[in-house]
Amino acid sequence: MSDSAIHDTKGAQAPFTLAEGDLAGSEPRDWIALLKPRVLSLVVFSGVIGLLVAPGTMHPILAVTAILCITLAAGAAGAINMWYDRDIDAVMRRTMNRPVVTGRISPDGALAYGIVLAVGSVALMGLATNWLAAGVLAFSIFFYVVIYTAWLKRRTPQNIVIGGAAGAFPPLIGWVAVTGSIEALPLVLFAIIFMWTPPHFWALSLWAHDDYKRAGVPMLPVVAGARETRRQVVIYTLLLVPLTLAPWLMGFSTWAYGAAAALLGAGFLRHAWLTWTDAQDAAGVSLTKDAPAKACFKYSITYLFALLGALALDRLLLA
Amino acid sequence: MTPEEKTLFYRRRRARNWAILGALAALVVLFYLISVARLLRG
Repeated sequence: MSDSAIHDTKGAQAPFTLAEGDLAGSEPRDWIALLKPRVLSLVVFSGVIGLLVAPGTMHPILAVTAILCITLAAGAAGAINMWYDRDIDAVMRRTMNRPVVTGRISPDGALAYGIVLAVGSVALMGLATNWLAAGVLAFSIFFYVVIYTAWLKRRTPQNIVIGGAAGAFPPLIGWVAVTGSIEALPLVLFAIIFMWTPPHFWALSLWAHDDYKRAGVPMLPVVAGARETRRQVVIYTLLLVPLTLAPWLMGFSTWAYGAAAALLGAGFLRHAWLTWTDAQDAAGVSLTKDAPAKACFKYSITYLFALLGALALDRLLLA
Repeated sequence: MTPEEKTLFYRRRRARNWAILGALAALVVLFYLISVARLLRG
């Protein structure tokens, strides 16, 4: 943009030239948007749960730092994801206003920002807590960026099943930050979030699959159809609910958590069933605008927060 | 570049600079607190 040189009148000296897209410049909120703040709430919550249910104590400053590192690492992975996926983000309604797509932040800027945050969060975690926690944190970033974003997302409808592991790391990292070791309970928490991700995300994709179809991303409804996706939601929910009883059955909690998990699971199964039996035409297209799938998606979020919260309360107050 | 665009550009650049200053200051305080916490832990 050769005609857009700005002369700094406050003492600086040489005029400079703005690159295309920099004319209006980015605002701090654009850089915050790169971190996918809406996704971070679950990351922070599950990381805190990992810290709370772990045996032992931790200085509050170090605990807050550990959560900060988990949050920044997840944000860094989100920023690198936005850099890599900027081509498909541009054609999806849900993502077409992201700052890299609109040009408010350059792709190189987003990548550099993500790398700096990733390296910084891992180093800070190692210095503040222990290097095993830092290693698991680094692996979680690698998993989301390389395994999910770059490898699985555009290649297989199982992308969410395997890629869901990326979101299951925070409670494990929180636990390791306190104890310095990997034990059974945090692995069970990992498995619960891993199994929760497919029904949660496929319920969403049932009504948002047009976006994925336009972008050429092989989400399950695009590849196998809505009917099969509804069936998979039920199957994964059936696998998830018994798994959530594991902390009680393995002696890590009292019956109170077991009862809460059973009740919450019954609610999830009901929503999954209603999604499966939704009124639909011969092609599997919902005749109710996917109302049961939307309700199932919303419930799945409440479900996970309530389930993890119940476990933490049980461990802190009763176990 | 119109005067309005120039004003907007400067406003946004100033906001970014303040945000960077805030982040750096927070990092300094955080490192100090981590050091104290680790010293207290022994």
